This record gives sequence, structure tokens and C-alpha cells, in this order.
Amino acid sequence: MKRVIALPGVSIHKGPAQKVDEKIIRDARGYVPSLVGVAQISGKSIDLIPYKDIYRPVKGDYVVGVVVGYAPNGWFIDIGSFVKAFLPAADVLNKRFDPRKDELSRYYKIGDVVGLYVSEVRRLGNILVTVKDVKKTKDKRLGKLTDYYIIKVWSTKLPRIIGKKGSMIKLLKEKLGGDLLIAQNGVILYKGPYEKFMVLNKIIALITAKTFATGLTEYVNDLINKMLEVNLDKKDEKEGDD
Amino acid sequence: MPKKEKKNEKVDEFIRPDGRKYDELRPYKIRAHILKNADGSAEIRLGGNWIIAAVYGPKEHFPKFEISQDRAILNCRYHMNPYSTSERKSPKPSRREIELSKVIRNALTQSVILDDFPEMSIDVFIEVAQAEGSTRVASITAASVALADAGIPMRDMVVGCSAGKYNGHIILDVGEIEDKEGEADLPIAIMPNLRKVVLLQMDGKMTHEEFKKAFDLALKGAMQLYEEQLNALKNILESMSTLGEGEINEKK
Amino acid sequence: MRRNNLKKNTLHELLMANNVLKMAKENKRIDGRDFLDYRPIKIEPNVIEKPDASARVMLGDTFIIVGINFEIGTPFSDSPDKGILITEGEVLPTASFGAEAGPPSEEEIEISRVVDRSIRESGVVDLSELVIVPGEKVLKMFVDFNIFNDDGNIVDAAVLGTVAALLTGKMPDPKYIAEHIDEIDKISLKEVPRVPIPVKDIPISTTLALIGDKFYVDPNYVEESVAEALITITHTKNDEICAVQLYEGALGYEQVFEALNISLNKSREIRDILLSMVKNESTETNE
Repeated sequence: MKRVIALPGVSIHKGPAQKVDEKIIRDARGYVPSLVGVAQISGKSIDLIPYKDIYRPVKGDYVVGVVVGYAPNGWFIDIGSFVKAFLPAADVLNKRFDPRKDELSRYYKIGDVVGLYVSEVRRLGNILVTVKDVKKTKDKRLGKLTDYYIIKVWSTKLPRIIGKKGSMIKLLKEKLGGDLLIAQNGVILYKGPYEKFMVLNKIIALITAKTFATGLTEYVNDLINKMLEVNLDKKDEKEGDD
Repeated sequence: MPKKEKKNEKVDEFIRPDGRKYDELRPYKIRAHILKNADGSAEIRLGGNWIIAAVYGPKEHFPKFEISQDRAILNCRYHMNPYSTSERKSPKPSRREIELSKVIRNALTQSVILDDFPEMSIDVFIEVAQAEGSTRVASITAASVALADAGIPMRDMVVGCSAGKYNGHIILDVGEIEDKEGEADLPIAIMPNLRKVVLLQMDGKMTHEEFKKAFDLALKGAMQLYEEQLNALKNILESMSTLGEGEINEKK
Repeated sequence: MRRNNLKKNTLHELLMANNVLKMAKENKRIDGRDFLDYRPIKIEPNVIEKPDASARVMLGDTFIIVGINFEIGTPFSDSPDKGILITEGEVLPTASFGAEAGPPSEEEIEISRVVDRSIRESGVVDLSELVIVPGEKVLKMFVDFNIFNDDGNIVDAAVLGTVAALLTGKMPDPKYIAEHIDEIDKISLKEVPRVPIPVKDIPISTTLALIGDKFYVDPNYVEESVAEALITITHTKNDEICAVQLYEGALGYEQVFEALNISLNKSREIRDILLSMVKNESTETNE
């Protein structure tokens, strides 16, 4: 496999190829990336890992959003994509919504953070979400989320945060404990002590700044150990002072 | 042949107001990703020019009745800050700024794959913090890097450069004095891989022969700036690929 | 300053607002700062050569440029022996997702006026020294500031930048112009010999956000967006109060004086930082 820097307009491959990423244009120049990133050429397939790309919702994605408005029969939710998603009231009430009896703000208010599944994407401008556990996996937090610290990253960074076969996320969970959850629109949820969240925050900032580095998991492992040590020292000092 | 060489020598001797040779760009530097909030950003310094570009989007377009159902709308604003020129410039957009916003928008629109984002809009904001001649082409050069930094799909980069005529000589990258006192000014912007011209304006008087010379010179300068555009983007990718000891110390 | 307009916030900002409110209950801030801490400050005077004075200020991720220009004008009839000060600020559309291009908004005008008052009322520039011919010709001083990236607390950054620019900039000599008043139409202001700007004071503004009964010094963008009250207080170098603005919200009587005290202490600290940076032209504070 060959890794090359991808720059808009700069041809990266001239020969034949069969499986080509949709962000790569084919024309007289050869295969040309349309985005900045890293391209992987192996055999007859070309993949492009973009440096940034807006979140494009796919049916079945677990996402975390914020309530930003009321519609006559549901809520508008910002899930960090092109347009606001729609959450039908009937999904939350678990019955037919009756505007004469049911008051939307009794369930979700503007500003509330909500865990959701993407239930339908008709076209770019029409995204439906639900709080029902459509996947029945029971491992996602759905509905209103209150006790979590939150980090938001570009969704293109998630593969690195999860790591190869989940190695990075496993490491983070192991070292930091608590409840650590990733939503596909680039939201990271954490329930645990503030100090550990601040460590997580810095680690995530590092991973997003070093998306294309090799040996990131080992590097993060060392770093996190050092940071936790420093943190524990600080805590001891404080307790000593008291 | 000897005659031609002699002519070239003469051209080489000609010294411009800032001491440059006829085919020399002012010192330049492009940096991508310089603003925190914008989806994409870049700055260019070209001589005394200092221009900052930011991109927001793709995002929902307002007002709704203006949306385009099959492609995104690209908005563009070229704006000079009050302190960017020798005489204070009113912050209100002038007719010149409105015209430049339009031609810059056209240049950038040619490269962006707008069909990917129906009903959306992409905003490009260009702020000239200091102006010293040829700001429109430098603006395009920075804005194109900002679009790439924002992850907006593009067919090619767009890069601009100017040429002109000063004291009877065809010159590359027109500076402020040359712009004010010169005979002609030819700003162009191109898509270098697709070999297309996307901005073409001229102000002043030139013969067809001079125009051809100036055009070729501007192309040459644009290709140099194009390399710098790619470097700015490569620098970001490189910093994302290298793990330095610095980080650990810093994070402590 | 920009509250409750969710359409103008990104998902990132909305989620961070949630963090601020959660951490408020735990007595913590989202960036790990103490409640009384400023973010790192970086002041670079003379970043631009064209105007008579300029400075760039980085206050955390808030990035602002101030430029000052002098022109010849006619004094106002009610103050014939004083020069003119005009302050205009613009939050550029590059500054945040919610910022918009176009004529200055209510908020931008408010911010400009608070910066103007901090400069004017402190008497930082002795306007009587800007007079060329009393009642006829004076220097008009334009202070223009632009916010390129808005991560909150624009006003403190703008006041810092303005004072730094004034301390390091030069203005056309009004005495020289007075001596050549007959040729006034012929001379270009740029060719008039320069003299230092007559700076008499070092005003420092400090902005505080009230969130859950606690004052947050130097609030960032997200903290400002959830603040119950937001206030700027400017102090002169003699510890006098020279400008106050409660942008929004309400404060208890006691809270007003708590804010004044916090502000006084912070203003002395920030003034030292400013002076040290202007002396060395450009350096960086430690966190």
C-alpha cells in the first residue's frame, strides 16, 4: 500500500483503478483528489482520508445533538450536519402527539442535549432522528443526556480516536475509567471526575492535531500515564495543604 | 539571436521602485488554518500585503427563498480594513470592493464542486489588513487555500497573480507605486492543472504584444505562488503526521 | 452579548455551553482556568505600517487588530480647543459562525462605544494637544478595531490594543501644521514630521461574566453566551473608575461592588503585563 498526500487538483494516480473513493475525480489528468488529506493506493483501489469533511448522516448512525427549536409536531435538533434534523414528537411520547394536550417543552427544552439514532435521510435537507433504540443494542444513551462532559471534534477524526480495532478507545477507557461514549457526528461523551475529563480533553486535542501520525496509540499511552501522574501529584499536594 | 539577448540584458538591468527585477515576485508566505472559529482559513503575505481569508460552510442557506435546489451558493466578500491603506478607508463597502467581491466569487466558483451541496451555501470572507497593490489576486490565492482548509471539494486550486506595465517595461506582481504610476495592470487568476483562466481584468493601455508578454509573466508568477499554496497545505498535513517531544512537555 | 440565538451557534458551541453550565455547579471552568484568571495575552504593537499606530492583540483565541489614523478636521463648536476622537469597531464575518457582514449591529455599536468611553473618559489622550488652530483646525483621531476571531471578551482586547497602539505610535506634529497653515492644502499629512502621541493614562478594562452567582473573569465566547450578566469596568492608572457597562442581565447591589473590587485588582495586574509587552515591543505572557 502506498500513502500519498492528497491535494485538490493534483493527480495522484495515472494507471487503471477499480474501487475509487467518491472524493476522487477521474479526468484527463488521471485520478485527482478533490479534498486535502491522505490517499491510500493499494492494488486497484484508491481511498481518501480527508483532513476535514462535514458530517454526512447515514441511517442508523448514533448521534448526539442539541434541541434548537420547536415545530408544530416535534423538535428541530442540531446534529452538526448541513441542516437541522427533525425529531417527531410521537417518537418521544410513544403515542400520537396531540397539540391540544401535549406540551413539547415538558419533554425536551431548547438547549437540551439529546442522544439519538438517525432514522432516515431522504436527501441532504431532510434528516429524521429518533430516541427509540432502533438497533436494540442497549449500549447507547438515548434521550436527554444530563451528567456528561462533552467534547466535539470533526467526524473525520473519529477513526483515529477509536483506533485500529478499537485500540485507542480501549486504552482511553482503561486509563480514565468512567463512562466514555462516541457518537458518529463527532461527539464524545464522558461521565467521570473533572480532572480525568481534562486529561481526556487534552488527549483528544492531541489525536485530532496528529491525525496522520503513526504510532499514535503508544504515544498516547505514554502521555496519558505522565498526565495522570502529574494530576495525582497535584491532588496529593492539595490534600496535604488542607 | 544576439539581438534578442541584448534586449533581455537591457530588461534585466531595469530596476523597479522596490529594487526588484522585472520578473520577480515580492517576498511571499502563505499559511493555512490560522483562525480558530472558521471552518477553514488562510493568510497571505505578499510584500506589504497582509490578507486573511475565512470560510464557513457548507451550511443551511438563508433566506430560504433564495436557495438553489441543485447546487450550493458561494458567497464572497472582499473587504478592506480601515487601517489597510495610507488614508483611512471607511469601513462601509465601496463600489470597488463590491466589484472585486463579484469577480473573486466567480473565480472561486469555477473550482468548487457545488453540486455536492444542493440548497446549501458556502461563505468566503476576505479581509485586507494591509494593502500594497495586487490585493485582488492575493485574496483569491488565500481564499482558495482557506476553501481547501475547510474541506470543501474542489476540482483544482485557484491562484492569482498580476503583471503590468511600468515605465515602458512589462513587470510581474505589480506593487503599490507601480499600480499608481504605471501604464497598465493585468490581474489574472488561474486553475493551474486545468489550465483555465478564471479572473481576467485589465486597467490601462497595452499593445497585443505587450499583453501576451504580461499574460505569460503573470502565469509564471502564479505557478510560483501555486507551489506556495501547496506548501501551506502540505505543512498542515505534515504537522499532523509528526509526533514531537514538544507536545509532552507542553501538555504538562 | 449574543445570547439565546441558537441559529447563530454551532453544535460545538451549544455543547460547550452545556459543559460550562455543568462545571459551574462543580466550581470549575471549561479550560481549567481559575475564575479570576485571564487567558494568555500577547500584544504586538506596530503590526501594520500604513496607519499612524497599530497593534495586534491575542487574548487566548480572540484575535484583534487596532489601527489608529490622524486626519485634519474642524473641531466641534462646543469644544473648539479639543481634538476629535472617533472609535469604530467591527466584528468581522470571519470572527465566528454567528458574525455577519453588513452595517454594524446594535452589539458592535455598543462595544465600540464602551471602548470609546474607556479611552475618552480616562483622558488617555489629551485632546487639547491635538489642536492646530483653536476653533478652526484640529487633529481627528480615528481608532478602528476589527475582530478577526472572536473567542469572547472583545472589549478588553480592544482597549489593550488601543492603548498599546497609542503608546507606540506617532502622530503628525500639530505645531508643524500650525506653522505651515497657509500651505495646508498642499502638504500631505504623511509628510508632516511625527511626534509621540500625548498619552496621559493607561486605562485597563476588565470584563466579568456572572454564571450561577460567580464572577468569571475574561469570559470566553461560550461563557459569554450562557452568562446571566455581563459587565465591563475600566480603571485608570490611579484606580479611578472611568467606564462601566452592564451589557445584559441583572446584578445584586452587593455584586456590583464585588465586581468593582475584582476589576480593580485585575486591572493593576493587566496594566503591568501591557507595559512590559509594549516596552519589549512584543513578548508573550506565561499562563
